[in-house]
Amino acid sequence: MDLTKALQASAAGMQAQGVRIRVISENIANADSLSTQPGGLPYQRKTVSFGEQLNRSLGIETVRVSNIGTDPTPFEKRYDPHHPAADSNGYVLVPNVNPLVEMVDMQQAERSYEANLNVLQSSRSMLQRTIDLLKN
Amino acid sequence: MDFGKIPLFKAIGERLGFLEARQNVLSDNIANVDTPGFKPKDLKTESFGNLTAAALQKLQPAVTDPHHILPASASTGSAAYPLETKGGNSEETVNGNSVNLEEQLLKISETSFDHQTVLNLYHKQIGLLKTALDRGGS
Repeated sequence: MDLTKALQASAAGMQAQGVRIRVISENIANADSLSTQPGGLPYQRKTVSFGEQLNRSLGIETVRVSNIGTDPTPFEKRYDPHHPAADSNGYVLVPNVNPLVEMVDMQQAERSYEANLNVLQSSRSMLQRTIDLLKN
Repeated sequence: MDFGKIPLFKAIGERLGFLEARQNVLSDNIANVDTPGFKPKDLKTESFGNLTAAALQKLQPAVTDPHHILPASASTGSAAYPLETKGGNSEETVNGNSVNLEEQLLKISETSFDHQTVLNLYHKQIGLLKTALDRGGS
């Protein structure tokens, strides 16, 4: 049945967006995770990239998370000489997580997830209507 | 009685196959809405004129021996639907992705609507046959 492939493709899309949401929530949760050693590095923001993957058993190309990398944006410095993570000059490195960017990313992931869900429902109802032909 | 030999049922079957294949391609486009460099795909729709011209011009080799192999283009049945990639439109983002979500969702609903129409047509036709068989059309 061809429509099951459509269902699989949408499910793969939802799974990929789910991973994206997970990474975004990690970033937001760690927005204030500083180092415990003097002059140490704080939490580095994680990024998600998507890629295509040929699903040989189905013969279609589905989406997948190709790589979870780190954001190379330099850390900002905050002057806080009494902090345990402060270096010899009294500066603490703070994570390169921008809550605004994370929120926008989250909205985008949510919209894409919703779109996939709608397609899934559309494919499902097409399948259901075909099966319903047997009723009469 | 073979339903596949009734032209209308054959046409309905082919149309359903096409619509399901199109739904596959479109749902893949939506799944890849955030994939860098992804270009949306769609199935090529043939015009009626082209199809009839192709059907009239095609010369089929005769199979006079069971060991003869027909060329792939001559084989009938569920032929693969040709894909076409659309890209480079004004919707292309910086990462090279040119999927327009609204356009794709519109196509999805169009496919779903067509699918329902064809199924209803099938249903009506079966009802007509039932009436002819005096079992009462539903």
